Amino acid sequence: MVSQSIQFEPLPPRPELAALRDEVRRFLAERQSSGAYAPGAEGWAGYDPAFTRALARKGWIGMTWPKRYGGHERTAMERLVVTEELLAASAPVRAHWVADRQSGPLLLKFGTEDQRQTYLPRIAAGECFFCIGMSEADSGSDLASIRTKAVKVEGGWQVNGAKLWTSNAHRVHMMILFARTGEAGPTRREGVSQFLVDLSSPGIAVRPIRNLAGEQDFNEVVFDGVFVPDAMLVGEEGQGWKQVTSELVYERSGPDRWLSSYFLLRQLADQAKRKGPDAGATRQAVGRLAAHLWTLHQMSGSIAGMVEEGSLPNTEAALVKDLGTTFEREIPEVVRKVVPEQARFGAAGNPALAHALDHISLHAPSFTIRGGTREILRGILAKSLGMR
Amino acid sequence: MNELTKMISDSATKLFADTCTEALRVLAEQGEWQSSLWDMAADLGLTMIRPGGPEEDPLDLVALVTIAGVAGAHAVPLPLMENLLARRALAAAGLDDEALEGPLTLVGLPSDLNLTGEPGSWRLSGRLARVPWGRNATAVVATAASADGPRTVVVMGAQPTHLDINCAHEPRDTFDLSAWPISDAWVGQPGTAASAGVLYREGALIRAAQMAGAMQAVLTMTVQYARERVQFGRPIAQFQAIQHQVVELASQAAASQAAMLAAALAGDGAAFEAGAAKLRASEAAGTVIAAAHQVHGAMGFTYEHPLHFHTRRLMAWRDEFGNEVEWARWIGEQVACLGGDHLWAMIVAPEQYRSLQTGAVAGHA
Repeated sequence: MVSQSIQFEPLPPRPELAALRDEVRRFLAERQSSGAYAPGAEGWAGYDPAFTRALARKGWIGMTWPKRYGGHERTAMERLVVTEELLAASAPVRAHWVADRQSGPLLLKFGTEDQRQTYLPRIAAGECFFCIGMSEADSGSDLASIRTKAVKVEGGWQVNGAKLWTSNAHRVHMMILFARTGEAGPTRREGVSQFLVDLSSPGIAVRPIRNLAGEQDFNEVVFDGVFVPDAMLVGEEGQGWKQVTSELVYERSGPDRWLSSYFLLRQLADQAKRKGPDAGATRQAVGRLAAHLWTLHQMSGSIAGMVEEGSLPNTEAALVKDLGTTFEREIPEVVRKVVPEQARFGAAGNPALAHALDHISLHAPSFTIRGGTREILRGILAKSLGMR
Repeated sequence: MNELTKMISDSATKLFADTCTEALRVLAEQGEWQSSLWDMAADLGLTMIRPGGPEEDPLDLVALVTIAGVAGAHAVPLPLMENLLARRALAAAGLDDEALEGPLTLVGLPSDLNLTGEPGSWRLSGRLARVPWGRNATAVVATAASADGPRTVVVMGAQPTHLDINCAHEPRDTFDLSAWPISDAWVGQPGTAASAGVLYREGALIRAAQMAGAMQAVLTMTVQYARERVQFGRPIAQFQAIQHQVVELASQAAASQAAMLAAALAGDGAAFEAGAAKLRASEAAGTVIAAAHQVHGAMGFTYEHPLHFHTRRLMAWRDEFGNEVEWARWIGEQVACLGGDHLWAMIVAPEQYRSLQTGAVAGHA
């Protein structure tokens, strides 16, 4: 069937959100002037538990969750406003990012009452950080092919296997583990389950993997007979595929998929103020990127509106992530052409821009891979168009 | 979308789905004015929309882009939107258009039109270039320079001095006026005129909306063709290389639609948003045209297959009222005034930066 369902209903302007934006900006300005952080090219990849706790004190973690779980019962739009402002200011939000974005919402939706009461208040307080246990060595885009197994034992499960490309596993507390617990079935989507795993459990070894920029960000996490109590099963045994799909909507739909290179665009806007032989090309480039950025901001708002109304816009999230990450990757490609080496390093050079360009160029290849490759996203979209 | 806008949209969709056939489009391309189609549109109220009161003003931009989207999706060979935009400009200038039989049109490229004389003996001189459907229009609405500043003027009864078409075979004519007499009734008061920049920007938004409609039609046709066309024993829709091209088409169409609607919602003064929407649509058109034709293969390159009615319009419209480079330069000049510290604030609240958004587009006055 040909679907006509890819729709981005525009949101009417909501002036009442402006006060919240201002509040976040004032908070960030204070943090910067007190030296707590300086905006930089690493953007939202900055990992800073102290900053996270300060955000939690403002009530900006777990914003949409019920108050009885430490949340603040704000709207999805309000959360979008806060996350946009944090990312546009390159705030170091990485420590709590996964927990706030997807692990918490997953527990809220599928977790037991005990799990919610134990973990959600700690996440919202900025004290408990999560990582994502999905990919494996032989299971990247083909997530259903995972081989990490959880076998039923007395009082719980015994886990053997290994997860790969697990960002932050070396410094967070918990993992949401996606593991095989039964027969795959003809669709291969049966017999998979999700678990809350305490990363300090015996039998877990976290091995760092240096990325091409020389940093330790992602890891291999090896499970050697790790015991996971029954109480840590998330949702229903065997229903992991459905759960993980809904979790991925949170992972794909936010402004972290189109603001990763914003710091460099901001540098380009500063460069555009300068006169000189490259001024015309620079202004044209920054004008075009500004229009694209504004469009993505509108589309993200539209998704938040759908989430607010209780729908799970899987297709729209995939579309915005594809467009957004393409935009993030394009920014360094544009900047290097309109701000050539002479304009970066010559007598009237712009070293701040040059440094940001190098950093973001090095990290850009990951943008269209993490959280679902471009190819997987396009497969989801092709399906919704009735092409497969 | 309010109730009235939805009603207008539904009745327009029904009318054009029933009447706007390929045969009719071919006749229009051969130069035949589609008077009965115009009359049917007029009967539905699509050519003379009156303000419906303070709460439901059907001349608002959301209503206009809604009609434009329908017109674009059906490749309607009429100056439907030019007529409505012209009437909107007249309403803004306090000129009563009710007595004016349509279709009206407006100037395509900003002009060097000059108004001289005084009440009772006004004269217009200058060139009106690329006037959409100029030969078929009863009057052209433009902004003329005068001793008291810009005034809205209605040029009636002039004959084009040069006939031309765009690549969708829509008329784009030129009028050369030399001391053309114009009655007092069709000269707006100074200070009431929409500046040429406003007309141009509203034209840009409306073209963006027509383009978004056309892109949706192209998407539907392309998906359908890919599902029907069999090669190597299966529908080509099953090939990943085809799927990804169609997905890119769909994404570009969705982004254009979202940008255009957001710009319309932002209201009358939203210059940055209108320019950004036209930029987005004009840039998207390149991807959309290329992907649609690649998937349709040789069949899409024939006159017989109706794809071209939409893709040729996209080819033409992406350059009208500012292409993506012109609007990028215009936005870029504003960003250059702001610098990095204010860029983000401008993106989320362009309405706070209106005073910056008054500059001309690409040298147009």
